Amino acid sequence: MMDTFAALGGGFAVALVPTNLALAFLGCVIGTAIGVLPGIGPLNAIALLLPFCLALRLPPESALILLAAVYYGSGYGGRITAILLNMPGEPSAVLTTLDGHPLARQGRGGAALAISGIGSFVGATLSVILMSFLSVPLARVAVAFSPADYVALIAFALSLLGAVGGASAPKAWAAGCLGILLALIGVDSGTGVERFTAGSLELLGGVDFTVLAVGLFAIGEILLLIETSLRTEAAKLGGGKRLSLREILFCLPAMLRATGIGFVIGVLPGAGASVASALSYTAEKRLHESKDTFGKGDLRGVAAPETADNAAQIGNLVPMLSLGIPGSGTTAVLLGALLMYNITPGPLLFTQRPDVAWGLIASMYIGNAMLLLLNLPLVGVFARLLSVPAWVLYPGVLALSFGGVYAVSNSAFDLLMAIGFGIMGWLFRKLDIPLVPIVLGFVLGRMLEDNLRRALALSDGSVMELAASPVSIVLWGMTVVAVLWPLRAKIWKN
Amino acid sequence: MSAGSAEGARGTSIVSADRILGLLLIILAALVFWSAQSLIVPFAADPLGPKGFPYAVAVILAICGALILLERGPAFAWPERRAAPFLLVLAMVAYALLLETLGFILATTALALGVALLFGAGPWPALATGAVTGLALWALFDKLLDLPLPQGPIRGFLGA
Amino acid sequence: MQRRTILAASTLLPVAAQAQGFTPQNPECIAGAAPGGGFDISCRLTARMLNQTGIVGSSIRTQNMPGGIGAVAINHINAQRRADPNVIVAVSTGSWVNMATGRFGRFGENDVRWIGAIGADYGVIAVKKDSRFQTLADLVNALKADSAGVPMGAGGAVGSQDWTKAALVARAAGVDPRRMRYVPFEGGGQALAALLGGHIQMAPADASEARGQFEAGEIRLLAVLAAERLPGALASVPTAREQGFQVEWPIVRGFYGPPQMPDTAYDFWVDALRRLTAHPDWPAQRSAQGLFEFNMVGAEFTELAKRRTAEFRQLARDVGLVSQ
Repeated sequence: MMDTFAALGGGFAVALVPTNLALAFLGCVIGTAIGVLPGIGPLNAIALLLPFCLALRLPPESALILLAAVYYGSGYGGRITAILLNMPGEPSAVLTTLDGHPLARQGRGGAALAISGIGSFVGATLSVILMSFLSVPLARVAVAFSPADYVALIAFALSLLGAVGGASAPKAWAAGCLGILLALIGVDSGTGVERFTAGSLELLGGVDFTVLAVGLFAIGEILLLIETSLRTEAAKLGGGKRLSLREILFCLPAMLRATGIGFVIGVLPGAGASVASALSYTAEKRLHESKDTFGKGDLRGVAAPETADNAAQIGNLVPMLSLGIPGSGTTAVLLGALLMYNITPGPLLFTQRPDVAWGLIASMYIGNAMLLLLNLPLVGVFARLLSVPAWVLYPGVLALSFGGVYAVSNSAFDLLMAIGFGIMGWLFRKLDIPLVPIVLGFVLGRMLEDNLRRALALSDGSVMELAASPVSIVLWGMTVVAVLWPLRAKIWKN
Repeated sequence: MSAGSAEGARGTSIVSADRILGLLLIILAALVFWSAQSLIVPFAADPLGPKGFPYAVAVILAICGALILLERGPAFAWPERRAAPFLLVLAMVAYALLLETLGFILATTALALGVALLFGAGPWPALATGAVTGLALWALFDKLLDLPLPQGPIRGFLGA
Repeated sequence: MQRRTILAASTLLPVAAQAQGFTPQNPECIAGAAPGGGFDISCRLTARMLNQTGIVGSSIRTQNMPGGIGAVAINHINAQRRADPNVIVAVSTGSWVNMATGRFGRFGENDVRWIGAIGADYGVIAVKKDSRFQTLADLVNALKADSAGVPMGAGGAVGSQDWTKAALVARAAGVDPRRMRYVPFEGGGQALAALLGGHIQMAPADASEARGQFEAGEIRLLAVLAAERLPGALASVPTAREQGFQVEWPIVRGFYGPPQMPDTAYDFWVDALRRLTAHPDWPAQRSAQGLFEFNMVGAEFTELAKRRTAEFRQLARDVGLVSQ
C-alpha cells in the first residue's frame, strides 16, 4: 500500500510537469470534440494523432498522457448531442438519450449536461482510484472470466431489453432481434462463411456501428422533424431550473452503483462501455420502477449510463496496463503507441517504466478534474446549440454526420446505407418501435454469438457447461428473473 | 390523412400499421431462415455453426411479429408535409451518388442549402448556411484531421 | 524483360527513376482499414518516413477505405484507378489469404503491380507458462494423439491468417486442420487473455503482440515461425524448422500499385521502398510498427505474392474452404 502511494507520488511528479499538464488538457479538449463528432471515435482520433506525437518527438509518457486523455475525454463528449439533439455521438451514449433528451425538451438540457458531466467525473475518478490500488489482482480475476461466463453476462444484458423499450414488449424484442440480425451481416467469425451479404464486398466486414447510429438517430430524427416542421419534437433552450445540489446528492447513489457496474464490466477484456451503460441504466430503472419516472426525464437515467460509461473506459485500461492485454480496439491502439517508443507493453511495464505507467495513472486524476472544470462552465455554451435556428443547425448536423461517415470510409455505399437506416429510424419512430434495443442488439448480439461459439467449442458442444461456474449460475438466475419480472403483474392478477 | 384522423382510426382499423409491421417482421424472419439454411459450411469448425444463432433469432423475431399482428394498433400516421421527407431523402441520395463527382465542398454546400430550404430558410440565408457548412467541414476533415475528401472540379483552386 | 533492365538500372543508380521524369503528383496511400487499423498505421508511418527522408518530395496523404481486409480497396483501384501512377495501396499476408479464398471478389494477385515489402511480423506458438507442452514436438504429439484435444484460439475466423498458422502446424504434424479445436476471438489481445485464463491451451499469435507476455514469463513460446531466429528478446525461442517442422509464417506488410501503373511510376515506387528500407533511420521506425526486417521489392516481391496466394489457395482447397 505504501509502495503504491510512493509510486503514485512519482507519477504525479511526471504528470505535473507543465508540458504534460498542457498535453493532458489538449487531449481532454480533443477527446470531448471527438465524442461530439459522429463517425470519428477515439480509436480513429488516436491513430490520427500518433504521427504528430512522433513528429513532435514527444517522450513516451507525454505521448501516452495526450492519447489517453483523448480516450477518456471522448466519454465526456458523446452525451452532448445525445441529450440536446437525441443523436448519440458514440455507442455508450445511446442510453443517455432515453432520459437526457426528454429533459432537454422540458428545457432542462443544461441540468442534464451538468449531471452527466458530474457523473462522468465521479465514475472516472473512483475508477482511477480503484485502478491505482487493485490493478494487478483485478486483471488476474478478469482473465479467469471464461467464454461461458461472457455468454451468461451478455444474455443477462440482453434480457433487460424489455426495460429500455417503452410501451410494447414485443416491439422492443423485435427491435432487439433486428439489431442482432444486422450485426450478423458479414463474414462469420466462427466458420468464415459469408452471411446475409447478398454478394456485396462492402458488407463483408459487416455494418459499421457509426453508419447504423448516424442513420437511425441523426437522419431518422431529421426526417421526423422536417415532416412536422419542428412543431412537436424540438428541445427548448432554458425555461427549466438549473441543477441543484439536492439533485446532485439525489443522483449520487445511482452514480456509485453505476461506477461499480461500469468498472467491473470495463475490466473484463471481452465486454465494453456499451454493456456497462446498458446494465447500469436498466438497474436504476428497475430499482425505481414504482415511480415510473424513467424514460420521461429522470436525472438518474442520465447520470447512471454516463457514469458507467466513463468507469468502464478506465476499467478497460486495467488489463491493458497490468497485463499488456488490450480489451478493445482503442486500447489496442494505445498499446501500439507504446510499441512505437520501443516500450514493451505487458506485465513488466510497471517495473521497467514506472514513469510511463504511473505518470499515466496520475495524469488521469488530473485530466478528469480538468474535464469537469472544462465541461461545467461550458454547459451553458453547449445548451445554446438549441438557440441556433433549425435551418442552420440541422443542415449542419446532417452534413457533419455524412462527412464523418465518409471521411473514414470513402464509401458512398456507407452513405446510402446510412440513409436506408435513417428511413428505417423515421418509420420506427412513427410506429412506436424503440430504437435503443436495435443498438443494444447490434452491439450485444455479435458478442453473444461469438462467446456462445467459443464456449460450445471448448465444452465440445455440451450445453451444461454454459452454467458450470458460480458466476454464470448467478448471472443466469438474474436473467431468468429479469425475463419473468415484467410478467409478475399478470400472474398476480390470475 | 393527418395525425388527428389517425387517432380517430385507432382500434377500428383491421389493417392497422402495426398489423402490416407484424406481417413484415414474420416475412423478414422467414427470409432470414431461408437465407441461413442455404449457407454452406466448409467443415464443422464448432458445434454451433453459422446457422444456429440466426435460426434462434429468426424464431424470436417471428414470435414478436405474431404478437404485434394480434394487437389492434392505430393506423399509420402519414407525414403532415408529405413532400418534405421525400425531398430530403432524394437530396441525401443525390448527395451520396454525386459526392465523388462534385467534390466534398460543392456537394455539401448543395445538400446543406437544400436542407436549409426544407427547414424554411430564405434563399440567401440558405445559401450562406450551405457555403459555410461546406467550407467549415472541409477544413475540419481534410485539413485539421488529415482525412482526404474528394475535391471535384475545384481541385486546382484548392491547391495541393 | 524490358522491365528487368530498368529495375537493374535503378538498383545501380538510386536517382535513376526520378531522372526518367516521374515525379509523383499529390501521391496517396490507400489503407484498407479505418484510422487505427494495421493498414492505416502502415500507410501513415511509411508515408511520413518517405517524406521526411526526402525520398518522395510531394506530401503523401493516407486515404482510408475499410472493408474485407483490403477487398474494397482492390476493387476501387481496379474499377476507377487502373493506371493511376500516384497511388499505392497497403497490403499484408492477411490480404493474400483473402485473395486465395476468393474474398476479394473477382480480383486477385494478378490484378495489381506488387511494389515491395517494408517488414514482417512472425507467427509464434504460445502456451501458458505452466503448460504441459515444453516443445513444439510435445504439442504436435498431443495433436497426433487427439487432434481435437488441444483447444486453441487466436484473433481471426476460420480461414483467416491467424487460423492458417494453426492449420500449417497441424498439417506439419500430419493432422487434418479441419479436426483442430480452433476458437476465434475478437483480436489477438482477447485470445491472449483466454490463454492466460486457461480457457485455451495454445495461441497461434504474432511475435509483436506476444513479446510483452513472454518477457514477463507469463507465457512460453514453443516456436517462432520464421526461417531464422528473431533478433532481440525473442532470440531464445527456437524456430519450428530447428525442431524439424517445415512451417514458416511471416506476416508481411507492403504495398502494391494499380494493374496498369506506368513502368516509370512503378520503378519510382519500387526504388522509393528500396531506398527507404536501406535508410539508417528506418530500423527504428520499422520496429515502431512492430515489424522485423523483411526487405523485398519489385520482381522478388511479385514472385512471393504469387507463390503465397497459390499456397493458400491449395490449403483452402484441401480443407474445403473454397470449392475446387
